[in-house]
Amino acid sequence: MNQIKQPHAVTEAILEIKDLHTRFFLEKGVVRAVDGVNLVLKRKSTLGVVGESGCGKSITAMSVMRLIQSPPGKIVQGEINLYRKDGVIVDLTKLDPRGPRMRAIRGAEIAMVFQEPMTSLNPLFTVGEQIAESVRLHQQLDRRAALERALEMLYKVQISEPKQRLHAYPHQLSGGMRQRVMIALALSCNPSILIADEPTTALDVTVQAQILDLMRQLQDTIDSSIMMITHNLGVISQMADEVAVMYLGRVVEYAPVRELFHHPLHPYTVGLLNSVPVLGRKGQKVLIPIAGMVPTPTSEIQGCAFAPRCPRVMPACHEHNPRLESAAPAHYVACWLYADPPA
Amino acid sequence: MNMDQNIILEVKNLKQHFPIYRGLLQRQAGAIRAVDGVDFSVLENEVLGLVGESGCGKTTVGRSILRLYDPTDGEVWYRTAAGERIEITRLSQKEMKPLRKEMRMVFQDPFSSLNPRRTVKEIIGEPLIIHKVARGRAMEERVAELMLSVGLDPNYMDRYPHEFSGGQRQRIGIARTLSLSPRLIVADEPVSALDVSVQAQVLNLLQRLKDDLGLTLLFIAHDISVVEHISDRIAVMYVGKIVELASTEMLLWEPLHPYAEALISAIPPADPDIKLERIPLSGEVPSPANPPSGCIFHPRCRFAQEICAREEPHLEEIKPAHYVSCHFARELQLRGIGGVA
Ligand SMILES: Nc1ncnc2c1ncn2[C@@H]1O[C@H](COP(=O)(O)OP(=O)(O)OP(=O)(O)O)[C@@H](O)[C@H]1O
Ligand SMILES: Nc1ncnc2c1ncn2[C@@H]1O[C@H](COP(=O)(O)OP(=O)(O)OP(=O)(O)O)[C@@H](O)[C@H]1O
Ligand code: SF4
Ligand SMILES: [Mg+2]
Ligand SMILES: [Mg+2]
Repeated sequence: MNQIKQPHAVTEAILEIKDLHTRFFLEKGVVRAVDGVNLVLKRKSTLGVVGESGCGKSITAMSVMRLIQSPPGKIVQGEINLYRKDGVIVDLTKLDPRGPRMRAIRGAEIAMVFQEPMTSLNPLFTVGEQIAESVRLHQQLDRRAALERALEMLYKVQISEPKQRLHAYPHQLSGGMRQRVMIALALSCNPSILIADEPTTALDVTVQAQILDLMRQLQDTIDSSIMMITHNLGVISQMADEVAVMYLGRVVEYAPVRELFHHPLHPYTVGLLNSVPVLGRKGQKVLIPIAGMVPTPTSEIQGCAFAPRCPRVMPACHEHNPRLESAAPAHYVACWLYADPPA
Repeated sequence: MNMDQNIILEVKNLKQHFPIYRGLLQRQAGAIRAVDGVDFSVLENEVLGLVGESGCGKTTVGRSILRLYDPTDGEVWYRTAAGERIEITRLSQKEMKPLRKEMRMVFQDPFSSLNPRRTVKEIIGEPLIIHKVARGRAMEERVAELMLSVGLDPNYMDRYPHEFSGGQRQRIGIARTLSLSPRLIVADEPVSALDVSVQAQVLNLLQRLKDDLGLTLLFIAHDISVVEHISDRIAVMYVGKIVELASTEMLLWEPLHPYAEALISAIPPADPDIKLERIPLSGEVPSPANPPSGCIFHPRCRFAQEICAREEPHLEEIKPAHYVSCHFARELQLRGIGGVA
């Protein structure tokens, strides 16, 4: 992506994904889950990643965490650069996913909150034990000090009756409380990057609003950047500073949030915004569905991945894959409407 | 026209309790009051939206009024195509059968609700055969007509569900529902499992069918933006009860129940220029097995007074056609989506 070549953007970036390709090699074929993703997470800001089911949001996040199970999965191309405060740049794709360097980064520098908390909390241990355990993995603390840190974290995520909850097992908590525990767990080592994969999708709106409030407050007090993955445009509009729109394994548009909502450029982004009802606009908005359906990402795509569904498709779109390029200040789009295809 | 003549479905004090059994002898130890005294009417050719958080009893209401359950208490009056009013909660399954053609359900999950081993023709045509409406060539013609009406190509009638996308599968489900020319459809989260880009297909389809065929819909969903888009009126449920029922505009812009206010304030508007200012809700949703005394919302309500824990409020018409169940509905100044109190 162009902006990373600009020096000021580099100093602003904390994480930069360059041309990332992650594939699953299955018997029935190769799944191109992530097929050339470019994006930048800026320091102290929230990047929203949106896109429909299967477009590669989670696999992008798991690639950053180096949690892709291999085999069958593999990062086959690209860079994931972590920009440390001291100026050191680490390309995570070069590290051994099970090695000590990646283990030190995972949890301590980059932490993740998963969509389904029950799959990442251990049912056999209390909430306090799990947070304390994760703290001790990265910091030299004795059991008591670690438990105290766990309690402090439960206060931070505003769980009711934190002292009792410290001794509760995951199944004794409501969905909203479990998600708070997940956030406490993720933030317990003061990571500089928090990746939240659909952190509120399984929750009711009133609980979702509480969790989003909490994440916003925490971001002000701790020094993290957040990568927020969701398919909910409402959540994105409220949480994100920048937004990356994904389609079929690629980032098709990247822009500041207001720019994206008010001046979307990519036909897919335009389609997405036209197809969802917006609260309070009854009678003013006609929903326009996007024609066709998302194809399964097994076949190699020639040209633009959105071409088969695009209302503004041109002959060149089927030929050449558009790259994410600057179309306006800070606004990047991968579409031949905004660039000249090769002759 | 007289209002009463317009009512296709009238639900009175409907209760649906599920027993909880415990111990070796499986004695009944209590009950989940999934639906606990619900009153509402559905007008002919309207879309009534039913919203509320997970577990509040929306699906149970839908299933009870279609007699997929035997309601614990209350009455459900249905007005047939012939204009006859029938109370259906005590009817036998045999007596229900002719009514089942008129009252039908669309299910949430387009992936599991269609039989994978049957062709689209068999799926859509099955109700026609069961109810002895059509078979053979006539059935095929009807299936083709139904497929066209939901925007599917009839040439695909010999294919299987897995060959279709989520939105298409949901339309197959809707075509099946329409096969017997129903008058009342309960649509339970019909778009929740769909991707946003295809949700619009199904919403537009339901809207068109309502207009073209004069259908009446009870539209159940937790996504209030979706419900707003399609509904003429909205009912808000909380722990087995309806706490507010009004026209879509009144309910969202001028809510009168504190829970409805909090619920609306929690919806993130898909517009970065509008900042979400939620009204905080303390505590958790109570269990329907052990609901609070008095007003079910009182433990979490920021306006609760002593009377709220003691006396149960009832759904009352506070403004014309605006029903609220709150002791202070006439006095409170609440905030709607406009944001002003
Ligand atoms: N372990 C796996 N083996 C094979 N294919 C996989 C695996 N995990 C994911 N995929 C495929 O990779 C693609 C991207 O999946 P991913 O989970 O990143 O989607 P997503 O954008 O997170 O979707 P959702 O919104 O549904 O969570 C999908 O086509 C998915 O089927
Ligand atoms: N067949 C049943 N047996 C026992 N309990 C039930 C049954 N069906 C529903 N319940 C309980 O009744 C309550 C209401 O459930 P219901 O499915 O109607 O809620 P809902 O509003 O549709 O929720 P959701 O938004 O999650 O679909 C819940 O507490 C549920 O666990
Ligand atoms: S009745 Fe009381 S507790 Fe219930 S909503 Fe009204 S003010 Fe709140
Ligand atoms: Mg995912
Ligand atoms: Mg339900």
